[in-house]
Order: sequence, then structure tokens, then C-alpha cells
Amino acid sequence: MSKEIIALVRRGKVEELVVCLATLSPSQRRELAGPVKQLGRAEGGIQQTSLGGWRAADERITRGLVVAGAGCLASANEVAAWLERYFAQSEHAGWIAQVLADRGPEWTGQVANAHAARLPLRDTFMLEHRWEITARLAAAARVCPTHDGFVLGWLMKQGYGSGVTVLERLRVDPFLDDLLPRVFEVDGAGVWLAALSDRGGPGMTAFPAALATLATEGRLDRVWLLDACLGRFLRGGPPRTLKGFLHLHQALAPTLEEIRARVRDYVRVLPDAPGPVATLAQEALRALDKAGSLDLDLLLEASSAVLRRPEKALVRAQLTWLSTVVKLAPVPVLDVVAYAFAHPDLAVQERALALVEKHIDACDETVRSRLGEAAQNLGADLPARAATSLGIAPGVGVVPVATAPAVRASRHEVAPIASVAELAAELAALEHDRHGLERVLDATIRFAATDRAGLLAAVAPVMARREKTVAAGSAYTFDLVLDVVRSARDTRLRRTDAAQARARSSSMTHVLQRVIVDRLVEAALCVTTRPVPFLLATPTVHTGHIDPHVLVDRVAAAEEGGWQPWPTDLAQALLRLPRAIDPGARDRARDLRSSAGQRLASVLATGIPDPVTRRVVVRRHREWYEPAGDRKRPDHRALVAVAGEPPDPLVARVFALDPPAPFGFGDEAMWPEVLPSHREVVAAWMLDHLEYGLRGSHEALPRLAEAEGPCGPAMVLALVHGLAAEFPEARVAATDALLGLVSSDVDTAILGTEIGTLASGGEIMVSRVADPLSQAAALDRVAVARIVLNALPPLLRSPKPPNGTADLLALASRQVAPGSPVAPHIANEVAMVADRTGSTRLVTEARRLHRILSADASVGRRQTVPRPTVARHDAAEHAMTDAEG
Amino acid sequence: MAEVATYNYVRPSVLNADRLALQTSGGAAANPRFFTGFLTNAEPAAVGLLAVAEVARTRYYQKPSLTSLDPVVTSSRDRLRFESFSGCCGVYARLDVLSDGLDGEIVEHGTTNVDVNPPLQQALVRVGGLDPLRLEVGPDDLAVSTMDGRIVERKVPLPARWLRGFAAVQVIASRFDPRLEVSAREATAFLRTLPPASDRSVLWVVPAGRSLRLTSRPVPGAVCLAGGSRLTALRPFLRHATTLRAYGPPSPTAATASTWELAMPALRLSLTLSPEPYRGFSGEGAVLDTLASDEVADDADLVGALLNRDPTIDVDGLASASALPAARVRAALTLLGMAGRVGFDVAEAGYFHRVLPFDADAAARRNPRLLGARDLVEAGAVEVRADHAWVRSGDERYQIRLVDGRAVSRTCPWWARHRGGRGPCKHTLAVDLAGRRR
Repeated sequence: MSKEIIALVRRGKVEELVVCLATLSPSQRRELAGPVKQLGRAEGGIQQTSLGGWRAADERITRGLVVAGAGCLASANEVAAWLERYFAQSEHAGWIAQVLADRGPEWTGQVANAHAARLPLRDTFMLEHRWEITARLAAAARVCPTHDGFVLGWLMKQGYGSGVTVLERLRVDPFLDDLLPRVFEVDGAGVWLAALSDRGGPGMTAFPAALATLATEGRLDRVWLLDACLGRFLRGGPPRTLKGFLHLHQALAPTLEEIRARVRDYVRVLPDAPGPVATLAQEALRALDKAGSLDLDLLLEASSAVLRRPEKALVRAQLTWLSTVVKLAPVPVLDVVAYAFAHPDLAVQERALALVEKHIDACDETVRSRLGEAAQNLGADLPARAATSLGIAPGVGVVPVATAPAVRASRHEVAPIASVAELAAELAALEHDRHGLERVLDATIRFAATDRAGLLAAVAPVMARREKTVAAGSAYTFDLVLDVVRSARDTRLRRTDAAQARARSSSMTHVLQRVIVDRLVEAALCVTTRPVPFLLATPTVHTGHIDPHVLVDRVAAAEEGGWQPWPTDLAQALLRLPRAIDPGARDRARDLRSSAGQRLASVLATGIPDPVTRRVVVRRHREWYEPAGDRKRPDHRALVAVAGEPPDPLVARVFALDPPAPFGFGDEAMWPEVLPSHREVVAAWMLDHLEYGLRGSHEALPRLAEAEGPCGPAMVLALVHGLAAEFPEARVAATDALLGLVSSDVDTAILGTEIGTLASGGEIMVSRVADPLSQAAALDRVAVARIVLNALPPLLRSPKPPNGTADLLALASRQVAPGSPVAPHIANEVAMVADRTGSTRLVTEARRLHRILSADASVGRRQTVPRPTVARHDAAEHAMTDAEG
Repeated sequence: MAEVATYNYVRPSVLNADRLALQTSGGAAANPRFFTGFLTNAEPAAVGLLAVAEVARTRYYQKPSLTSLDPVVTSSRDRLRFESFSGCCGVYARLDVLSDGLDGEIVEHGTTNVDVNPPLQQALVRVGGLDPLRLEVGPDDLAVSTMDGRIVERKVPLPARWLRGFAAVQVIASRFDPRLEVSAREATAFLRTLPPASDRSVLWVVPAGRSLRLTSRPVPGAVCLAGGSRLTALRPFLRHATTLRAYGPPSPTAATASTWELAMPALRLSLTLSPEPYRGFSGEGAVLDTLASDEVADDADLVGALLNRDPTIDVDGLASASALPAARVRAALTLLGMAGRVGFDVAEAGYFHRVLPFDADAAARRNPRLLGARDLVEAGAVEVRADHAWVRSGDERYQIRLVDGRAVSRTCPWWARHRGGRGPCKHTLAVDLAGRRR
């Protein structure tokens, strides 16, 4: 019997199979399960071919297997898993249902439920595919599974079928009544609810519209539908999962009576629901209020929730609404309005203040002092205005505390590796984190000279592991380090020579990376041919610097030992000398006799001359495959050319970047260590990375702030691109760097001008700059004020100031002390925009800033509100007149 | 291998007519009854409970789908604690309702699952104002006696990593100290500046004036904030809180876990975040070395037996009762933490007794790294020398550098990648085990 059945399965003769299976007894079915499973393993599903590829089983055997499995496997769960594994198709459903029905009345339903429980939630393609057969089995058994996957699949499927609208499909849908309640429970169902459109219908609203129509026709319970919808809003969730229910609410268009019955729900949605839902609730409540049926208590509760939300439009609408009812109960309403004093937007704060001012006469002393306390949350010149207009003593307000930023990490010494075992572990770790490179290289050279056997034994497992997967000759930094060990081990370089030569000359290798690569190649070539007991260029401080005394010691030891330092190593060591040299070290270096010693002495005496850096505008290089984000960048870009009089070939290469084309990749985070005393040059070489936000580049910014050397146009551009970077962590790193540099090294006026220039030219998005700058203002208000003020003229001058200009104006208003002296061209640009007609945010904010800047000079010229005279802050502290920089 | 948690509730939890009836399942009894009385601050308590439930049903990092598990409630002498753990094993939430927040009778001490269903969530959002709310935790006798069949039964898979993580959070948090504190006003401004949900960056938070500021590197005093958008669940509670506090381990150099707590006089809501969004607490390898030790296990049995008699945890008291030195009691408590038998409250810097209503102990003992280490020792793959050891694992040999008999660095890929930041590797554990056996 079972042989016959297996033969039928093989040939895919399902009709005969169904007949055959129906006659089997339970024990015969049990016996059949073994051979069927075996056949499945051997020939069903996806099989590996003799050539090593994969192919799907023949369609005939597939349908045979799924039908036979349904007839013989022991439980519904097993059958469900079987159908999944062997790709049961919806056209098999009829036979499967027949076979299951022959086993007993409850089987089909059980299998449908078990299969529904196994539907994948994330893989929408598979979900759609497998939903179909689940649905057919369920329909055959007249059951409705309510598992999450079945609900999602059902929603997705409503859009299918040509010429049939969603409404028409739903009218005849067998699952509607059972699944609709689940739509309001399953996370993510709302996404699919807002994903269907009928031909000619508006947007993706076909499903919600169909539900509303069914409610009108009486097919669905409108009251239930509305309650479920509001319940879903109350439960909250990401905006996109609520979109479908927003459409549904709109389609249902609740009447005032219906809103009144659910008024508490609408109020309770306001504090935490996503913006669009809160807007909907606000509109519903306002409609109710217009009809005169909203209690004051509820209005106040609603208002206190809305006024604490960050969305400007919602808060403005609420303030407008409150202004119409304030006369009814001035004190409680104004108490609520005061919540808006803490709103992040100045214009909103001003609007709230104006509303309070208008009705202040209705308030007694205690209320005024309460409002006055809240007024301390106001920004810019508003607290002072509140002090006068509310008739209260001027509060202290929130004065940003100017503590010294704890940005510069303390200089910590780098401890050398002490044993071969430690070296082995650090070498292994280098594969993932290159920061230990210098320590590993140093220890490798030292141990190669003193304990070659120990070194090789300790690192052998690490080498073996890497050599298993990566062939020698790879140009990765990690493999170049292994090459050093390899040449110590094999006492000669083999195939790696050629690869290293390639890595060395490759035009794809960034110049700063080439310094690192050259040192590694030099070490690999010389470790056996010209062995040295230690390297000169190993840093002693984490910034990459070498203590001058230590370097003098190292060179003196070389003289004493009678060996020549390797040339690249020496050149790198000299580049790592700090700028401030202890005279003692200088004196000691004069006694050195070797050529290396004399070069050291001369560098210690005169330093390495700084190259000249120059800001240049070049045509942007464009690729035909440019990503969409890059296509928006303008055709021109600002870069920095570097030209110097280099003392040696290595320095010649890094000090020459003219015309600027700083391209190439490598270990970006380590580049500042290559030139720790010439950060301007590093910045010039990294502008490409910073402008395009390439990996690892932002980590270099705080390190550049810790490094030494003058800050010219390249450092300024580097900071600007960091502050305007796409990713938040890059902007945070740039803020750290800015705080480390503004106090002395970087000219804030030039930095500001550069922000304005690049933003008005479309090279950066100014909207991204405001937030990091206001973070920095908490620590250095004066510097930030200067940056922002200097950024304004180029922005305000451009015919269409970019988005975010108003944010910078508001930031300036918050940070500038009233009446501070400002360079005339800044004041003029602000005044010209302030003079424009209209009430766009740009003009409003320009007027505010103008008011603050001219606080003393022009009392009563433009102001309509009475204003206090504010004592001039320390003028010297806020001297902003030298904006030309 | 995932076990299955079966929730058997007598009926669904409901909130109607100002009476919040939370239903319980599991723990010491089938449906224990813990509390009857009032929540004195209704709205904040409801908001806090919702936050805990939200963490339970969220996956902050995408993993194969995992059914959400119900929160756990613990009643102790004077307070109720609601805990939950996210499906991605990376976020732990707890709401502590302190004695000021409760007005009623704690009927029994213990820990159990509590049902928080979608209709209840909706109802909790409707709770407004500061009027007391009637609260019952656990079914009344009538409900138990009249219902013979359990009417709410849910089975959800209970992955071992979830269990291990839930327990490990407590141990990881026990090393935290308070680092930052700001007012609710500054906290609101700070939480507004958090990166969007898609962001997985590791940032650090330092004080800036009276507010907080993000910084890119672990400067002294900074608290790690990894995947900051995972703090979203705190937002609704902000309008009730008076302060935001952050807790973290001392002087971190790489990404660490951190606890963020919003407090008001009667309630505390805290979230503990894993060091990076893709890292679950289970993989952090906390106290694996302690787990490997038999001596600590014996101490833990002793201390655990004492706790069953008196649920207050006072290290000195336990030390005198068990005649063990305080350090060994602490080590034992750490082990009990891994077994899910004590929790840690960073705000009070102390352990509290709560036995998770799951078998976390077995999950901790089945830690893959620990099992791997035992296999290595059994296979005789460990070779201990004076200052280093060799471990043969598969085709590879790894060297482990020892200083005073303790492993400090190794050449295996796990250490190369994490440098000890995620606990010892199985090779180190194997060396420890082999050392103890000799």
C-alpha cells in the first residue's frame, strides 16, 4: 500500500492520492508517515544539485508531498510545518482540505490555525504568499484564525483583484467580522490599513473609506468602530502605525454628538499621541467648544497638555483658541498659557506672553508673581519685557553657566607592551581596532631584536588564523603589520614585496595613510636586513606626540649602539615633536653627532616650518553614479590648498596639496597622530571625508582639537562640515572639537562667516548647525554669539535665505546680550531684513534680533510694546565689532 | 532552547469605575493576591505602568520576531515594583511605587506576572488627575472560587537569552553609581535633543551648567547613552517627574550600560539600556567567572535560604545570620541576581528580594560560554604554565596571559573584538575551571 502511495506522490497524481488516502486507517497513516518524510528529505523542497547549486523540487512531487503529508502526519502542527517546508501553494488547498476532512471534521480548522500561527510577520513577500493557502483552508473549514500574521496578510490582500474595489471585496469577505477587531490590536496593522487605493480614489484611503461606508450601510457598527479607533489612538505607537486609523477617523467624520460622548478620550490623546493624532483631537475639541459644549475644566486640561508639546503649529492654534475664551476665566486660563513660556520657539513664547500681557489687569498680586516665575523660562529679551509688562521684579532668568568645557582629555602617557604574550593579544586585537598599531609595531621590532624565538612562538596562532583566510600580499593595515612579523619569521619577504609596492604607490592610498603604510613597509623590509633594537617614532602621548627628551634619548642610544635609524621612521618621529620644546632637550640634542642626531637638533632648534594654507574654490568632481543625496550639492566646493618648503621627501608629500584633491581611504581615526603638531595640514587632507561624512572621519575632529598647531582655513572648514554633518554623532564630535578650540585657537568670526558662506552657497544645510551651536552655547555663550552673528550677513544677503536661517537668528537673540556692540555690516543686514514687510518667521526673528541689538540706541523706534531699559552687560566681554577677522 | 511561558489569568486585568484590578499569574502561587488599596497618585502611576508595558512589547533592535512577555510585579514590605524586559534583551524598565504612593494593605510578599492587555492600556491612558485610584493586585477570593476554568491562557516562547538578560541587568546595575542629576525642566529639554529612532550611535552625557550635554567621548564623569532613542518610553512620565538621574559604572573607557531614572516623591520610573542597541544584556558575560565557581554557589544556596525566610536584604544582617564574611555574601547575592532571585535598585544602591516567576537559574547555568568552557576542560584542552596558559579549541590554539593566576589578555577572536568588555571568553573560563580543579 505504502509503496503504491509513494509512487503516486512521485508522479504527482493527487486525485488518485486523495482517494487512496481516504481509505487508510489511523495505524496505516502512522506507517505511511516514515516513508513520506524520507521521500521529502530526499527529493522535496530545495535540493542540492550534483554541481553544488540549488534547485527547487519538481512541481509534481511537491504537490504529491503536501497532499500525502496532510494525510499521514500525526498532528495539525506537524502538518502545518510540513506545508510550510514543502511550499504548499494555494491551488493545492482544495486537495489538502479534502484529505484533512477525510481524517475528521476538526482537522482542516486545526491545520489552518496552526499554519496561521506560523506566518512570518516581517517578510511581507512570504507572508502574502503563504497567507493565501491559510485563508483557503480556513474558508474550507469555516474558521477564522486571528493570529497577527493572518490579520496583516488579510489587510495586504484587500487590494488584489482587478476591477473590484476594496469596498466590493469587503462586502463578501468571510473574515471581516472576526478580523476587524484584531486590526485595532495588532501592532503594525495601521500601516497596511493606509496602504490601499482604489482606481481614481483619493490617496491611500480606500480601506478606511470602505469601512466607513459599511458603517453607514449598517453592515458594521459605527459606534464600535469609532470607539475602537479612539482606543487605538489612546494606546499610541509610532506615527506610521496610526496613519490608517487617522484616515478611518476622517472617513467616519464623527458628529458633535459623537465627539461629546467621547470627549475625555479626545482630551487624553493630547499629551503623548503623535502630532497628527493630537491635531485631530484638538480640532474635534475645538469644534465642540464652538458649539458651546466643552467644559472649562476639560479645556484647561487639554490646553495644559497641548502647550507642553514641541509642535509649533499645535501650540499656536491652542493659544489662538485660548485667546477667545480667556475673558471667561482669566486666571486659570493664563496659568495654563504660562506653560508655553517654556516652549523652545521664541515666537511661540512671545505669543503666549502677549496673551498674558493683554489680560494681566485681571490678575491679582499672587497670580502675577506666579506668572512672573514662569516667565523666567522665556528666552532672549522676553524675560525683561515680562518684568515690565507684568509689573513684577525682573527675575534672574536662566543665565547660561560658563564653565570651562571638560573637552580636552587629559594627556595620558602610552605604556609600552611588556611581554610577548601581551603582544600576541594586542596583535590579535589589532584586527578590529587599529588604535593599538603603534604599540604593536614598537613591541614587534623590540622583540624581533631581543627575543625572536619567543615572539614567533607567541604570535604563531594569531598568524596562522589570519593566514588561513587571507593570502599574504593583502594591503590591509592589519596584514601589513603581520608582514613585519612574517619577514622576521621567514627572514625574507616573498610574494608580499610586490603587493606592498602596489600598496605604496597606489593612487587610491591617501597621503596620510601612505605615511602609515610606508613605515610598515619599511619595517617589513628592514626588520631582518637592517635590524634595529627599537623604533624612534613610537608616540609617548596619546595625541601622537613624542616627548623631545625621549626622542633625544632614543637617537643618542642609536649613536651609542652604532646603528642607523630607518629613514621613514626618523621622518615620522620628527613630525611627532611637540611645538613647545624644553630648552634642556634642545641643548642635549646639540651634542648628537650622527646625521639623524643633527637633523633632530635642527628640528628642535627651528621646528618644522608650517606650510601656507589657502582656501580655494574648485569644481566639484562628479561621478555618473552619484548618490541622490550628493546630487543636491552645488557644482563648486571650498577646499584648502597646502604649499610649504618641506625639509624632506616624506614631509614634502604631506605638505603639498595644490591643487587640493584630498582623496583616498585608510585608518582615518589615526591620521591626526601622523601630524600631531600640524593639525591644519591634517584637516586639509580630511576635508573630503568630513564634507561627505565618510566613516570614521568625525572621530578625528576632537583629536584635532587636542593636537597642536595653528588653525587656518582648513580647520575652520573641518569644523563647519562637522557641525553640519548628517549624522548626530558627527555633530556631537564637532561640538566637542569646537568647545576645545574656540577659547583660543580658532577665530570665531571667521568660523561664523564660513558657516554663512557655505550655507548660502548650498554646500551645507544650515538647519543642522543651530542645534550643535546652541548646545555649545551652554558652555561658551560669548563665542557662540560671535559665531552666529558672523554667519548671518551671507545668509541674509542671499536672495532666498536657506531653511534654518530663522533658527540662527533666534539663537543669536538668545545668546547676544541686549545692546551689545556689533560690527556695522551685521547690524545693517539684520536691520534690512527686519524692515521688510510681512510676518514670515525670518522677518519676525530678524526684528527680534534687531530689537535686541539696538536695545539702547533706539528705544521706542519700532517697538510697539513698552520695554525696559536693560543695563549694558560688560561691553568688553561682548565686543563683537571686529567681525572682519 | 526556548521554553514556553504559560500565563493563566483568572480574568483579564481591567480598569473600570476608578478601580484598577490587575490580574496575576505564576510565582509562588498560581494567582497570588498581593495588594488591595489605593494608588495615591493615579495619573503618574498609570503613565509609569504604561511605560513599563511599552518596553515589554518593544524590540529596540530588530531580531527574529518574539512575542512580548508580560511585566512582572513584586510586592515587598512597603512598595510595589513593576518590571519588564524588552524583546531585544537590551532595555529593562522598572516602576517603583514607594510607600507614599500606596495607601492600603500589602497582603502577601512575592513576585508574579501581571496582565497588561490592550484594552487596559487604553483605559490607563484615560486616567487623569491626581485623585487616588483603587488598586487590586491579584484576584479576589470570589473570582478564584467562581471561575473553575482559567479564562485567559497565553503561551509565549521564553528564550534562554531573554531570561539570562533579565537576570543579568540586576548584576550589571549593582556596579552603578549616581552620576548626573537634573531638574525635570532640563530633562525635558535634554530628551528633546535625543537622536532619532534610526540612530544607533554611542554617545556620552556630561553636565553642562545645570543642564546636560552630549559628548562624543568617555570623559571623566560621563554616562554612556547608546541608542538614545530607546529612552522614548520615559517621555510621558516627564510631566510628573521632578528629577532625572543617570547612573553608570565608574570611569568607563568604552560603551557601557546605564540607568536613566525619572523620580517624583512617590514613584520612580527607570530604564536601563544595554551598551549598544544590538547588544543584549545576556551577552555581556556578567559574573560568568562567579558562576563558574562552586564555593560561591554553596554560599548562594545558604543566603538564598535565608532570604526565603526574611525578604529584607541587608548585607551585614545576612553576613551574621549566615556566618559568612560580607564580601562572600555580596558574591552570593551576585549569583542570586543571575538566578533571578534578587533585583538591584540603583536609587537605593541595594538589592531587593524577588524571585522571577521563570526558571532563570537554569538558563544562567546553561550559559553557552560556561558550557563551552566545561567541554574544553573535559576534553583536556587546557594547559596551564607559569605566566600563561594554552587552550586548544577546534583547530586553533589560543594563548592566555596570566598575571597572578588571573587571565589578563588572550589571543582568541572574542577578546580581540571586545577586549574583555563583554565578560570572559570560554577559553578564560576553561583556564579558571582547570585551575580550580587542580
